[in-house]
Amino acid sequence: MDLSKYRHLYVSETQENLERLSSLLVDLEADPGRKDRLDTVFRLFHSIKGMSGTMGYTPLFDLAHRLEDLMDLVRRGSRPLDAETIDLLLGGVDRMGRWVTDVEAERPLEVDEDARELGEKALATSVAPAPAPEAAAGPGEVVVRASLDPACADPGVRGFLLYRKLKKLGEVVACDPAEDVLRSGAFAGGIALTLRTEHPPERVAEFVATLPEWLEVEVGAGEQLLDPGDSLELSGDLELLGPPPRATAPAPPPKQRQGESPRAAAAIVRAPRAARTIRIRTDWLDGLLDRVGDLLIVSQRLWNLNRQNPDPAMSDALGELANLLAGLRGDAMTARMTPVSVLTQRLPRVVRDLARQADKAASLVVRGEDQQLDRAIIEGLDAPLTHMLRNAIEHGIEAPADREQAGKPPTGVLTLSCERVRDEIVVSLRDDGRGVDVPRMVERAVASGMLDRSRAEALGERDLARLLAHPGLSALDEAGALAGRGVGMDAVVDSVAALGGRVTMETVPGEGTTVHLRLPRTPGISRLLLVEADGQVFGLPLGRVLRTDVFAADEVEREGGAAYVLHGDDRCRLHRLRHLLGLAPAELVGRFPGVVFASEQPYVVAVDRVVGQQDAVIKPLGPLLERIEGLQGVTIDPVGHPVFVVDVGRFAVVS
Amino acid sequence: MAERFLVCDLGVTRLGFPVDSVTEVLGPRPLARVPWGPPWLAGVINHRARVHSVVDLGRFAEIPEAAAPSVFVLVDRPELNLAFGVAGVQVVERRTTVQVTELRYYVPEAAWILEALSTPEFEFHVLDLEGVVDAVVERF
Repeated sequence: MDLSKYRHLYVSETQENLERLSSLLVDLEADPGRKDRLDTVFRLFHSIKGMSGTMGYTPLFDLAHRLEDLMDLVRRGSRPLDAETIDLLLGGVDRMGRWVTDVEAERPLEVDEDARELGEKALATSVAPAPAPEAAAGPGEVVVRASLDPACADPGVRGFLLYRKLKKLGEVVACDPAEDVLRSGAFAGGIALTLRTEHPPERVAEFVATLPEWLEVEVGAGEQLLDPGDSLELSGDLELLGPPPRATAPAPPPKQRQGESPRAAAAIVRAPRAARTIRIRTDWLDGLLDRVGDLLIVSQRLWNLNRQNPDPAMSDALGELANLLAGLRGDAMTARMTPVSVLTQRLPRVVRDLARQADKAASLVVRGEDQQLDRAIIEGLDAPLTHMLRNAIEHGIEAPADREQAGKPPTGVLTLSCERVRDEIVVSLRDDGRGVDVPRMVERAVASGMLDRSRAEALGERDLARLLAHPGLSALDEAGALAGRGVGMDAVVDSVAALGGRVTMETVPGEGTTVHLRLPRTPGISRLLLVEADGQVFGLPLGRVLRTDVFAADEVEREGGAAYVLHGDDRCRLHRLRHLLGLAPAELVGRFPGVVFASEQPYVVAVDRVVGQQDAVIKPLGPLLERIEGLQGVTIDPVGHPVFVVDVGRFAVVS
Repeated sequence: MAERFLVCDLGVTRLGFPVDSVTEVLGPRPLARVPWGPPWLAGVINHRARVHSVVDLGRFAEIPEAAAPSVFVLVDRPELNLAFGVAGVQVVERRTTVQVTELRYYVPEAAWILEALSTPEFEFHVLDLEGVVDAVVERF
């Protein structure tokens, strides 16, 4: 059977399991007595082992197997879950994560020295205790009935895999659905199977129970069905079962219900439940939203054509089309929604590791993780949140002794929250650390020549995030292990701006700092300022536009090859959009329109004409155009012409 | 071996693509210029809500005095959304041509040329479209 087509499914499920493991292990480090979490960690390692073995990824299988054994000892109380064990388990999770990345990229799985050492260490700490005496059971037939988790992807494959694995335990004498049906993948969720085996029902039940996707499992000799989820220890896969125990008494044959054939006695299946969720590749969802965006663009064009020659019937039809498209777009957006927990699940681990590196103690509280965000935003927030956590731990949270001296508990608390505020999603990270020394940062910015004093003080009062985002401005005297090189906040601001959002910041000396990421709820649609240069319309994202204004050509000041205009009290550098975009030059005459952009030093870009504002569906540029720096995307105007969305700031700063 | 060619008029030169490698031929339409794009990138066009990059084939192939593009040939590389801009096109059947061995006019990259053919009216060179597209991707 060719399993390569299931690689994508394997990767996504294993990555999810590894993320859950990271999070659970960090939780267990703080509260090692939680039996339910110990069991879950064990099961997750077991799942990874099983799936990796099935797919033939031997290094992953081996390591998961050893870590599973180690967790088995821990949950049985034979080994403490101390810091060393947690480190070993987390190291294993990281190693497996890198291998899964290799699987995804179709690279060979290499077992380097680190991996070998990790595996040996896991093996050395996972020496199993002597096996408990086996329960007496005899050879005979065992009935297995199981229902697949309806949320599980590819039920056909799962059904056949269960069948194949059970077949290794003995001879399958009856199966419903039949083997050829399972092999064809036409399997809805319920299976009933009679197995002639030397293993007692308890061992078969143990084995089936190790496959977490199978719910409502019943195993027994005839009608004496066991529920493995209630009473049995999970002790591993078939390969770990060892030889079947010797029979001490023959097992009773399966009982036959009145009016049923022997086969029917083994073939009682619960009616399969209809699947309520399915797993869909994210690039398909991206494609769906793209198509809906295309439809919206075409719809706008039709409106425009109808405006030229109005027809009441056409207007009605277009109105109906607009309503349908709005609904379709809502559905497409909903399908892409992902709970914030997908993003936050791994963060406790990040906080743990960062705090350790900085010799500090910190914990993370997450609020609002049930909020749903578009997956593009979830993916885009990963890096900035890591930067923010790094900054908070390095700059904000004090060392435990300093905290105690300041009357605070030794462990700093980071609180990450996510809430919907009107049309925005606000993701906030608060730390209870020392706060930002704003006057010191202002002095540092002035002393380094990055900003003049009035500008630095104004930013310090009104826009702390922008002050700290100034490239190269660091809060630390010496670059630390984690931060202090002045590349943190500017990266956060850039990443959030790329998502169409903005960053704000509040700080209270001695009490802590809060960073807010304010993000649009509807990525893909942006409000643009449309301007014209050299006969072509371009879109400017409104995020950094302060306003549009009219300037006088005879008031333009020239100094050292640069031009300046006055805007309010600010003397702003003047750029020409024609020049920035490499278009045909033209002299500024009379009064000309300009766009004022927010920056450390606001600047003005002269345009030929301000066309207006518009909500636009931004399409990706594609593999060729995206290589051109400064292009952010492209949209289609109502008459069908492409309009480039350009990031003039990128060129204005360097020109 | 291709049996039908889409022969593109580039002014002093004609270049042919195997018809199978072309998905569509579009008539004149406005081009949006691409800021900071390479000089041979004529611009982009919107076709069925897809934005196609239009490579001016004459300039890309450095053909002297190539006519300005007014017809757009969409090539069968959907992931690239790529079109070549040429002055005009016509379809030629192989059976109406004869092979010629001598290159009679300017062709910059001999490696792109699969063969030279002649009809009673004109000669043309058959391009290795994959090779040309790869060169576009490389130079972009």
